[in-house]
Amino acid sequence: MKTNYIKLLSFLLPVALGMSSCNKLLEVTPKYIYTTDQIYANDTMADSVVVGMYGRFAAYQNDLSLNTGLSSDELIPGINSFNPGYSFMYSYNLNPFSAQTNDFWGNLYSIIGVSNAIIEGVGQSKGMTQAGKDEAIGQAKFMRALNYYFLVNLYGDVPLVLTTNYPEERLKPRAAVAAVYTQIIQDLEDASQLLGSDYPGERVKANKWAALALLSRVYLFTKDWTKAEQAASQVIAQSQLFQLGHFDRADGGEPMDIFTKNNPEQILQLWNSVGASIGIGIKGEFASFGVTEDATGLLPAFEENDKRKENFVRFEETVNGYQINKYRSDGEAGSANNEYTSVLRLGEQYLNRAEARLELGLSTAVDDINILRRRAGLTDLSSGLSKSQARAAIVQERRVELCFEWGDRWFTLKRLGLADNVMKKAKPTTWKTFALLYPLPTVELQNNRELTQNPGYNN
Amino acid sequence: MNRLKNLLLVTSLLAGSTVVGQQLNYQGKPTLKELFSTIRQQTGYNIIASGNQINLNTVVKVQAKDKALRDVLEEAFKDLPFTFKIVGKEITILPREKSGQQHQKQQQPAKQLFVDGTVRDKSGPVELVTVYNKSNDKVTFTNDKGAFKIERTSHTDTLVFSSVGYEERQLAVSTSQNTVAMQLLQTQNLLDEVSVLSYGQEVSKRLNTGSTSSVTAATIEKTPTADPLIALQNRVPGMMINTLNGLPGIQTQVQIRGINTVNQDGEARQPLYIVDGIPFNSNSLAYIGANGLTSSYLGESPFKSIDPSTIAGIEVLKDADATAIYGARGANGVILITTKRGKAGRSTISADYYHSFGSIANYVKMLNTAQYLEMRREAAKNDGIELTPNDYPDLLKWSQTEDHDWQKEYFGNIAHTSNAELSLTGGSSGFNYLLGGGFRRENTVYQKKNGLTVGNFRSNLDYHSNDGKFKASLSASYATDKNEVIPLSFTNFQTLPPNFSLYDADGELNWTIDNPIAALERTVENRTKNLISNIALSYELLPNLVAKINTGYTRMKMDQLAINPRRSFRPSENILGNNTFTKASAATFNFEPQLNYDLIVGRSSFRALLGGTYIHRGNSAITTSGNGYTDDSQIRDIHAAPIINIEPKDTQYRFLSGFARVGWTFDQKYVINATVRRDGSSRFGPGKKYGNFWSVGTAWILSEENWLKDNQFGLSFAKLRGSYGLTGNDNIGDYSYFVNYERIFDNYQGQGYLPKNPFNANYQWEVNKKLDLAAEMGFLKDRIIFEANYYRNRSGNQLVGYGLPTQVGFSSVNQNLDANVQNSGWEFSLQTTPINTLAFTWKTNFTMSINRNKLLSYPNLASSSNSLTYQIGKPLNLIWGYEYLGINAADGQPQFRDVNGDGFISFPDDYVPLANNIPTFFGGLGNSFNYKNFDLDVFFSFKKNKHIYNYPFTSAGSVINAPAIVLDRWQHPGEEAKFPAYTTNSSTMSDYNSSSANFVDGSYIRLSNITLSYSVPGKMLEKLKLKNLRAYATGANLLTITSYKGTDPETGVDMPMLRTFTLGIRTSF
Repeated sequence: MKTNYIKLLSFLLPVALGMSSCNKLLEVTPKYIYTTDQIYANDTMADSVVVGMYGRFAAYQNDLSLNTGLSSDELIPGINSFNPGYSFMYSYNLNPFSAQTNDFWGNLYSIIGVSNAIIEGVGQSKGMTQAGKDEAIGQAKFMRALNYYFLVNLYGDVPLVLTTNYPEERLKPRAAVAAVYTQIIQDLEDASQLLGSDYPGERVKANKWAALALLSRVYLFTKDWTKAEQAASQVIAQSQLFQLGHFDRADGGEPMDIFTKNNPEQILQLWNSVGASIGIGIKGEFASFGVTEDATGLLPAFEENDKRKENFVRFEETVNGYQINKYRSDGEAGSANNEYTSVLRLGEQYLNRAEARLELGLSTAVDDINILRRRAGLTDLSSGLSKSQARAAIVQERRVELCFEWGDRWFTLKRLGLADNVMKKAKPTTWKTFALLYPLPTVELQNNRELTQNPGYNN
Repeated sequence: MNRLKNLLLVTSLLAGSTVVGQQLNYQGKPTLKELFSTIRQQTGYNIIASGNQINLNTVVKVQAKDKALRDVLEEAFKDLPFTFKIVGKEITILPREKSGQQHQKQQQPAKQLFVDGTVRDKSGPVELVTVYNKSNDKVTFTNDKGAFKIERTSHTDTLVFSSVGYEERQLAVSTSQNTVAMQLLQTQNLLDEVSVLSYGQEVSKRLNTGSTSSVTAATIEKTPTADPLIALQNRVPGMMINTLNGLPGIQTQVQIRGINTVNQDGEARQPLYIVDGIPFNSNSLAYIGANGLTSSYLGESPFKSIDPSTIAGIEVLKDADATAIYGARGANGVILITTKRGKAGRSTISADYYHSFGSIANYVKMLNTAQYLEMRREAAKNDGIELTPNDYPDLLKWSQTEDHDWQKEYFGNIAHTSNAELSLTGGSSGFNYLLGGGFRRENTVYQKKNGLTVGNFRSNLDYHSNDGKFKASLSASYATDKNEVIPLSFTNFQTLPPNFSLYDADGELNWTIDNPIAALERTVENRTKNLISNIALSYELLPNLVAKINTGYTRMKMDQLAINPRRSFRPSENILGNNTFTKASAATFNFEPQLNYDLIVGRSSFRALLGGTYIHRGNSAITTSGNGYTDDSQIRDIHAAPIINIEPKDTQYRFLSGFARVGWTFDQKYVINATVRRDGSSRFGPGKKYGNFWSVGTAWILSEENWLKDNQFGLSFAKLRGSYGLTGNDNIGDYSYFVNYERIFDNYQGQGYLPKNPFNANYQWEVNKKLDLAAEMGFLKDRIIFEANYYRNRSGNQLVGYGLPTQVGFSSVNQNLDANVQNSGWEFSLQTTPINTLAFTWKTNFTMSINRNKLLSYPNLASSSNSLTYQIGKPLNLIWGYEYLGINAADGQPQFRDVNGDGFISFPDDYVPLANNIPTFFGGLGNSFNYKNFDLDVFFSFKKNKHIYNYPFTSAGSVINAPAIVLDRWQHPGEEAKFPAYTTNSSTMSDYNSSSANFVDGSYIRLSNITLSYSVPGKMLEKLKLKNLRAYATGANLLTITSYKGTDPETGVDMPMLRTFTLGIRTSF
């Protein structure tokens, strides 16, 4: 008995004391967590990061359409709004420390961070196929471009971060808007080469046409009319993939199908499902907002008999006012949802091309506008419109066609230099010219002393 | 008195860390006095000899090298007329002749006379008391029932009773007396109380080189709470325990000697807990706020699985010397909890039951309906706002006469707690056992049915072989609890307008404003199971060389179901029901081999410990959440959820280290201990896993020096000690040294993965340098014991989540930050025994702690994300805000200092550090009185904290009630007032609330605890056939003297700690 103990102990003790030199015992095997090497080991694994990137984007995007709607002349805070931040948005009372817009900065950059990680991780992957690499990098570049597009339009000059090397990137100052656009265009052109030209499943991830569709819009911002026209035309030419949706079908009775899942009008949508916290766009919050109804507002902007008026907004008796009606086909909460939030759709491409053609001096510009007017049950515009009349017609058409969609109204007014005048009329007491740009969050300025605040904001 | 000298106590018991062997090393011809002194030093044995019989100057010859004590004595006394007897740790020297006579007399029994007797103290019979008959020099000892029988003369005899830990007493026995009963009085010599140190080492307070504080079972028993840590509140110098909320089972915040890290994560600031030698998972698996009702996520206290009455003692290790052996894990201090174990002797059943009644002691005075409506009206008038039914339903739609005091209506009930414990202990010489179990049920002041129920079962077994060489002990405890407390927000009820109706005319919930009653529909059910098991084996390989293995396994499992039904949300928001099922578990395996060696050379004794630790901890959790329930009746059925999301998590932590500790004690006067340690942690990347730590501790017992021994100023004990060392910290979370691709919650037609952190594999151990200096003194035979302790801890190379601009894709990165934090402070304790007689004793215990916390350096603080959190030279707990300049008498607006002088008050340029939210000092004063069978304990605690956050009042623009302090507001130009003019402007009020105006003095003196108990006297116990019977009544949190206007200066605006009255009974038989 006694010798057994001694044997046991004399065996265990040296083992135990020798432990501290043994690295094996400190090895851990994480579960449900992957290293960079593991996650980019093959196409399927790498695709899960692309899925994550889209999921995160879909989860983050909810408020962008609404807040830019409050900044512009589309929306007012609703009577039942419980969020005082919406009132601050509406009246341009943005405190850089706590503004509601502060989330946009971090959210958009976090997606850019993921796209940078994908581009680097896939680039170094040894196990992925070339097709898999093209797809993943194409998606990452598309997303990076999309998020920089929002950043420059919300904040103006922004740091251009293209790697995950944070020790260096953390001190990057703001880059000029033009430099950011150059990168956006570069990324979208790359994406249009790398991504496939069809939809393997639903229309919830970018492909070549999504990259071109966004490119056509971005070229409007850089005033590269030829390329804008070409990109939009390439998309519009894909008639086997893309067709305009309808407000009412020929057989009657069917509701608008423009935003239904995978409708041919859609170039890119955000996937969602009932009760999911993502991709629900603005419908979850419709009650907190009202549509502007005064003379300068959206409601009177709809022409008589415009089908968009009855489809895109609706009268709500309980609050005695108009509310958003896009992405609301789910009706009762909890029932199956057949609409997805739209990111890019064919309708806009006609408007992009119309503008490009107008600026290029092509007479066909008005034809593109009329395609959408006809769908809305309106009469054609005369082809004899002057250039400035036609320009105004495009702005008006964008306003009613793309209302509540990703700040299109706000960005268009700013792009065309109209915002100051329009907003001065719409909100004479609260409008401030510096409100064209949102403030940078205070914490960002603290963590990167190379950043500067936008003018007008107390910091 | 002079006769007392007859019984010469050559030495007093010194149970020191060096005292283990019975081996002796001595060569030469010492006098008996020298020999006894050597024996005492080398073995720690007491030697009792009657001086009138023994000439201590007798020279004997001793040749001992690693010789057994018994052999040495036999050899030394060979030619002397003495013999000896070893009982326990006492050696009694007896004259040989007399024992020879005794022997002869035994042959003539007729002539022998005896006296019988029993010796007891307050609690019962006392074993091994030396009974000495002065008249005939006979000596005997009491047996385990306290009985003795001693030979007497035919005249009046004088018996002397002595035993370690008791005051010596004499008794004259007349010739007619055949039996005597003696009661002895305990002398509580605190210096000789044994402290349990790291890895089961024991040391008396006298020889301890480290800074430790202990709290005994007797103290812990007096605080009838679910969490034993609350019993330590304000009783341990240097240890601050904050209770965050008065709900049952809420986790406490524990800080030993201040905050050492700029890391905001609570886990990184926690001490290490060891229960019976096994690390205890002190991190909550369950969060009370899982249903989103409380603003902060309050953890459940894992300690509720340990019934305080099962604890034998708690030891708090503070300095480098005491904690270095725990290396990395001991950076924030170590708390050792030892549970009660079986005792040899006949089987004993102990039972304890108590019932507590708790209520909220203090409410915040709020406005009544008339005052409230006046405020709303006045604010609107001040700001020129038109009253509309939409914004002012309280003025225009609701009853103008209803007047509710919501705090009392909903939180005015009595919370009940019942607690029962039963245990069985016993054992023979080689085998001791304990079996026990308990049950506890606790509810809240606002709800009877949903409460906390805890059941626990524990057992332990100790075995040692006949030769004492092999020892084994086994413990296992299992606790299960169910917590269904719905954490209603106290402040939501406080601020509810007094004329609001919770229900509308149809009896449905009134949703005009957020209805706090709806929260009762959002239930949380937690079920936690906690297993702690431990096997310790030791074997004496060679004389003085002992090998030990300590193995432990603990596992905590938690099942939680949080339900948010559709009806608990405002109907117009159309939020669907959702639920979350969480299954989480944390398991730790712990393996600690060690080797102990003791060596005694002359007056030196050495002790060496060599050991290793291996810890493997696994945490896993699966969260299944169901979303989109349209029908509340299905909400417990996960399969009925339209959307189900499953999120698994699993992390592993491994820790490995080797350590050595060497101690040297010379002549019981000089002690030095040194520890070295090498730790490895899986939390660090390749090449950074290991860190080296060390400490040195030393003590000098001045009172053992001859020049101080017989001093005139009553100094009975004096010690100086000091320690210095490095400990580490690896609290940075698992795996973050590589980029973690983790599953995200947001599905997108499949499971997505995203990088969670930026890449940094370079961070490594955080290092804490600890300095500790102390003086300990005893006066008047240690009836006054005073200790003053200074410490200075500096922690550098801080492990933090360093703020990044989010342009890099992440908001922080884990890294070492070259910031230095210093905690320095003083701790004082004073224990006195002003009166100690048989009938009445009075003891006091005073502690006070002063901690100063300072950020010494922080590279580029101004440009870091913490530029508005910390300031160099200031404590980490800085409060920032506007500096309040009073009210503008012209318009009633609050005024703040415009620091940058730009004409605006704005964040952050006008923000200044206002104050330190750390107490200036805190402590406690305990008084215990004993009169015959009654014990009375009165404990006061105090804290000086000049700046705590006052009740924040949003603004009179919202439908929210205000505290009555707003009544003293500005109304007319030129008026002096304390509170600004009523306003609907919430940003004015938010500036006011975040200014110095809203930080008030939270100092207090609190009557924390009064316990009165009665122990049934021994004679009656014998009749009842009981060993012990005690009834007690405790009042906790009875009275607080403070100028703070909120409910409780401890919990601030949250639900206060309850005032409780407890009645209990404790017995054993």
